[in-house]
Amino acid sequence: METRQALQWWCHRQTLRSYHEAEQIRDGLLQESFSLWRALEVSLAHPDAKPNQEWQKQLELSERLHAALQQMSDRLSPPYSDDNMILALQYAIEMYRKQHPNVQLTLDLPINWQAESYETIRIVLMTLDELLQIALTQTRLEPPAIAIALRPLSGLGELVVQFTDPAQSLNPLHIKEFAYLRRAFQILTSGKCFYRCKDASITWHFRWASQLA
Amino acid sequence: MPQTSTQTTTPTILIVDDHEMVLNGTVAVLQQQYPDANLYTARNAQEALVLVESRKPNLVVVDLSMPDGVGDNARTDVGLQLLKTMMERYPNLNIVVQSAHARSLVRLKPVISSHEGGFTVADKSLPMGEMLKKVDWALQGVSFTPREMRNGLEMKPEWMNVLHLAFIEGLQDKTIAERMNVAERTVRHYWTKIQDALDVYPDDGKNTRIQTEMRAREEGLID
Repeated sequence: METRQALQWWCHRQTLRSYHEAEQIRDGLLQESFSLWRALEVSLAHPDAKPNQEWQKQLELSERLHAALQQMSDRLSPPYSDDNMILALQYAIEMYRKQHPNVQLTLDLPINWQAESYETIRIVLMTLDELLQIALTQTRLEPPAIAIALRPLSGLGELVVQFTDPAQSLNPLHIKEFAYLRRAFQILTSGKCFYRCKDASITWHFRWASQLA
Repeated sequence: MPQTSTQTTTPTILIVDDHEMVLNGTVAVLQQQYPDANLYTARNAQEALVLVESRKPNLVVVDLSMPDGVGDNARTDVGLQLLKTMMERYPNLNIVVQSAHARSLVRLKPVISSHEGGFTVADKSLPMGEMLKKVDWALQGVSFTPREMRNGLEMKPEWMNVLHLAFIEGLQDKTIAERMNVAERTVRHYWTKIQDALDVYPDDGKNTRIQTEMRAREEGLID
């Protein structure tokens, strides 16, 4: 029990720190880089401007800097995590699709979702990200088809992730990271995590009680 | 009431953002593009509403994360409420939402859908030229909402009716308005929403109405 509380406290502290760091970047450096980028664009677009290669390079650099800061703040605290589970999941999956265009992935979300704490949303997003990372590492040659769904379940929230993997290389009994992830989710949310295997598909269930309910 | 001009040569533009540097950057861009424009700035929702009422802008460029008043923290729900209030009070106001994460706008879908002024979304990571295009579209009364705000192709019955009357019966807007028992302006408003749903936007050298017909046929909305 004490270990669970200690780890939940640890996770809470880390997510809070990440959140504040992200907000600092969004309120500071990101605004400054935006301003710098726009100032260069305005200078270059001025009728009297004589753009040269060096100016163009500076412009591209400022654009890249702005994009990198945006990505960093999004990694530290994913967009919509402090707002809405559905929007946060949609955004995360959209990014995932951009990074892995070859993966067949479907997302089934309800229209509305109960209010969740920032921490719960973060843990669900981190769990999903780790699950997908582990699965893809194991199936590099032939990525599985993935179906993700978010479901309300009599006072609980449930994230369901189904892998259809004809090569059957995702057997949780053979991959220790799956066991770690399962345990980590259970400890951090005081929730439940289990899987079901049927033919070529493995379905993971992550269940948690809303902290704000 | 704010003007809805697509012809205004000296637009009045209000820029709302709680970050001084973003305000300055956006003002500089708009000043260069519209040298004769009257530009005003607001740093919170309350100030923005006062300026919309007093300055009657043609266009408001607004961030989503916004403090309510001086000294308050910036919050998305305040920005959303500001937008909702502006659209309800000034149905013809042209609006550009400039935000890095505009997906939250999904909560205002019904209000945006019935808003009659221009409404476009400019991601903050867009280059200046792209951002100015969204400003120009909004001033023209165009609707542009990001794909992530939509669930597939969403068409209202009245929009389907407009498509049928225009492309099957070959009617002009004035006659469509009479047949639908609405103002001609409302028909024009329906067109902007139909075009947004079909991803048809102003493009040099292209006839928007013909593009709309082609897209509607592609989607199987008309035979």
